[in-house]
Amino acid sequence: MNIIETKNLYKTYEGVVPVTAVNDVNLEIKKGEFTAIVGPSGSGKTTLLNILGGLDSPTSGSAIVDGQDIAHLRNNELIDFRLNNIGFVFQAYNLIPVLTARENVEFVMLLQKRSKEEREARTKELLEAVGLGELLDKRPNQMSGGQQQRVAVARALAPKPTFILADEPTANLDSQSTATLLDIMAELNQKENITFLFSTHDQRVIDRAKRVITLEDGKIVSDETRETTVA
Amino acid sequence: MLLQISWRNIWRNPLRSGLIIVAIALGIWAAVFTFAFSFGMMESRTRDILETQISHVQFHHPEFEREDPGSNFLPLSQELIEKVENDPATLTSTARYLANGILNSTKGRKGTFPVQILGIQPANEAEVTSLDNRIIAGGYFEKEGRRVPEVVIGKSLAEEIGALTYDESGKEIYDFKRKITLSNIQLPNSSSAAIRVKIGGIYKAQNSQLEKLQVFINKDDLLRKLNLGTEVHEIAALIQDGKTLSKEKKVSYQKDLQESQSTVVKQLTKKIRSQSLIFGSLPSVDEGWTAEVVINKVMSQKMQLMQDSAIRTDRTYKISGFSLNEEDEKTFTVYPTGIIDDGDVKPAVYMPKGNMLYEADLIGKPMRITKAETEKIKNIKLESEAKMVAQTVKVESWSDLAPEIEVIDNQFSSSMRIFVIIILLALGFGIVNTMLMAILERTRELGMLMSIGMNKAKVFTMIMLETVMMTFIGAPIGMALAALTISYTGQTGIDLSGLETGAEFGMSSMVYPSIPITYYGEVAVMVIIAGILAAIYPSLRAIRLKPAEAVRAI
Repeated sequence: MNIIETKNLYKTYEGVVPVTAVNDVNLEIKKGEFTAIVGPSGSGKTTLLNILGGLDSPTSGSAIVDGQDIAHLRNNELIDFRLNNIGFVFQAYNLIPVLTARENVEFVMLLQKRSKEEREARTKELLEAVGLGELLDKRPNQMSGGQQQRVAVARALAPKPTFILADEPTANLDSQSTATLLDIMAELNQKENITFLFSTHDQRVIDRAKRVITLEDGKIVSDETRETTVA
Repeated sequence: MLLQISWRNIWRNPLRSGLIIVAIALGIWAAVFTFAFSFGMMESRTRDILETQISHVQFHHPEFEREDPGSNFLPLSQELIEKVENDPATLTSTARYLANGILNSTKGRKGTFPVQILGIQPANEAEVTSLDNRIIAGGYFEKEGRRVPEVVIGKSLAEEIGALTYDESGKEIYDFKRKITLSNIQLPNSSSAAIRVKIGGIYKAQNSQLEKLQVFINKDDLLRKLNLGTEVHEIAALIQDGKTLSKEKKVSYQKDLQESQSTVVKQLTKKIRSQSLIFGSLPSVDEGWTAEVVINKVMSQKMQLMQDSAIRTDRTYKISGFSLNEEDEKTFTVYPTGIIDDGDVKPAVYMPKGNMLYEADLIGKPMRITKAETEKIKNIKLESEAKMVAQTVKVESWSDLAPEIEVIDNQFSSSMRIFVIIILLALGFGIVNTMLMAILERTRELGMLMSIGMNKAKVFTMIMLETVMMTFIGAPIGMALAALTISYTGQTGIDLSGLETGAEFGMSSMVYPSIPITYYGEVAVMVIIAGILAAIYPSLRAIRLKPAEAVRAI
C-alpha cells in the first residue's frame, strides 16, 4: 500500500531565471519503508520533502499522501494535515528550548487535543523508546545534540503520523550519536513498521536505508531498493 | 501550555525582558506621577483662587456686572444673606458692596489710581477669603465706626502711591499715618461721592494685578459714609463640596433660593397690598417691561379712571417724560391695574422696577400722564394676582465666574493625557522593537512550531501573550511606585519656591501631588491598549513567516 504517491510533480521557482527544483517526479513510497533521498546540493531534495511534508505546494502535478492530494489543500487544512499525518525531524533538532523533554513531546499531542492521561503515557513510552527515560525533565540545553535529536524523534512519533520526514537528521551529530539515532529509527521501523523518509548527504544514513532515491536537477536519476541494511 | 510557553519565553533573555519591564514600570511611574504633580499644582492653584478670591458660589442681581456694579443690588439682600448663611450646605459666607472709584494720593507719589472698592464684612470676609491671613503689615479692621474709616490696600498699590518705601538696607517702611481720598465712588443714583480714609493694613495677594486694584473697607463704614442703606451687590460663599459644585446642584441651589425669595416677595406683596392697595391688583411682575402700573388715589381721580366701580378699559394711557434706564426719555403706553393709597396729595404712578416689585421700588417717582382715548385698554385683570417671577437672583458657581480656571484645568488634563500617550507610544515602540528582535532570534523555532501543526491563531496568541505579560508585569510595578511617590509627596508637598512658579498668575509654590483614583484605572486601560497594540505587529510578523523557510533559518 502506497502511503506517498506523486504524479508528474513539478516545482518551479519564478524569478529572473526560473528554476525548476522538482522536475516531473513520479514516486511511490509504501508503508514501512526506510527511504533516503540523496543528491548533491540544489538537486531538489529539500523542495521535494517540503512538498511531501505539506510545507510547500507544487507548481503542477499531484502529491497524494495517505490517499489525500495535499497539493490542493488550503493553508489551514495543510496545518491540520501536518499535525496529524507527518512527524518532522529537523537537522538542528528545533526543540522548544523553554520546555523539558517531556513537555516538548507532549506539546504536539496538546495541539491534537489528546487527553492528559494519553499524553502523559505516550510521552513516557516514546522517550523510553528513544532511550531517554531518565531525562524526562531536562531542558534541551541540558542535553547533548544526540539526546536532543532523539527527543525530536520522540516528538515526531507522538502524533502517530503516517510517516516521519527527517531532513538531514544526522548532519549535526557525531558518529556515536548518529549510530544510536539510526539504531533507534531502524528499530522503530522494523518493530512498529513506521515509515521513514530521509533527505541526507550522510553516507551512514544512506548505508542503513532500505531504499535510496537519487535526485539530480530535480529529477529522479536512480531508485535503488536493498534487501538488507548495513549494520 | 501556551501561557506557560509564553511566560517561559519572556525569561529566555532575562536581561532584555527585565529592561523592557523596568522601562514600562518607569514610564508608567513617570506618566502617573507627572499627571499627579500637574493635577496637584492645578488643584492647589484652583483652591487658592477659590479660597482667596472668588469662593465657590456667588449671588448677584441678574444684571450685575463687576466692571460697573452701579445700582444692581441683590434684591431682598437681608433675607438672602440670612438664607445663604442658614443653608446647611454653606460653610461660610460674606456680603459685599462694590463700587469703582479713584484713589487720590496727595502725598508721596502723587496721582490718581483707579481702584475697585470692596465694602466687606471683615469677620465674614476673613472666613471666606482669608484676607486677614494675607495682611503683611498694619492691622485688619481692628476698630469699627471711626470718623475716618480704615482701608486695607495691596502691597503693590502701597508701592504705587508711595505708602511703601524702602530704606537703604532694603527694609520696608509703611506710612500708616497717611490719609487718602477715595473719590468718584459711583452711587446708585448715578452721582458720585468722595470719602477720606486711612490705610489700616497692607495685604499680599497671589495675583499682583488684584493687589493693585482692590481696596477693602468695612461695608458698614462705607455705607454710612455714603448715606446708603443696607444694599449689597454680592454674596460670596464657601459651600460643602464647592470645588465640585455640579451644574445640577447649582440649579437646585438656585431654585431653592428662588423659591425662598418668591415666598418672601409674595409675603411682602401681600403686606404692601393690605396696607396700600385700595382697588384692583398690583402689576404683574414679569421678565422685562410689563407696562402695568398702579396709581395713587389722587391720580385716579385726575384721570377719571374709575367708572361703575371698575377701572375704565376704554382708554389708553400714556406716560411721557419717563425712562426706565433714566437716560433716554420716551413715551410708554401703560395699563393701570390698581389704585393704592400712598397718602400723597400729588398724583403719582408706580411701576415695577425691572422685573422686580418690592417695597423700595414702589416708592417711585410721580409721573405726568397724558390720556388718549384711542382704543380699548386690554389685558386689565382686576382679579389677577401679582405674578412674582422668581428670576431675581443670579447664582453663579466658580466655574461660571472664572471659566478660564476650568478651561485651564481641562487643557492641562488633556495635555497630560497626550503626554501619557506619548510615553506609552515610546514604550510601545520599545516593546515592538524588542519583540521583533525576539522573533528574529526565534525564527527557526517558530518555523518548527508551524511545521509540526501549530496554527497561526496559536502562534499569534503566543506572541501576544508574551508582550502583554511583560506589560502586565511592568504596569502594576509602575503604578505601585507612582502610588507610593504620590502618597509620600502628597503628604510632604514639593516646594517650588526656588523656581519661577508663576505666583503672579495665581500659582502656589507648594505643590501636593494628588490624583483621582479613577486615573489609575484610566492609565491601566491605556497601558493595556498600548501593550496589545504593541503586540499586534510582532505577532503578525511571526505568523507571516513561511515555515519551510523559517525552519532552516540560520
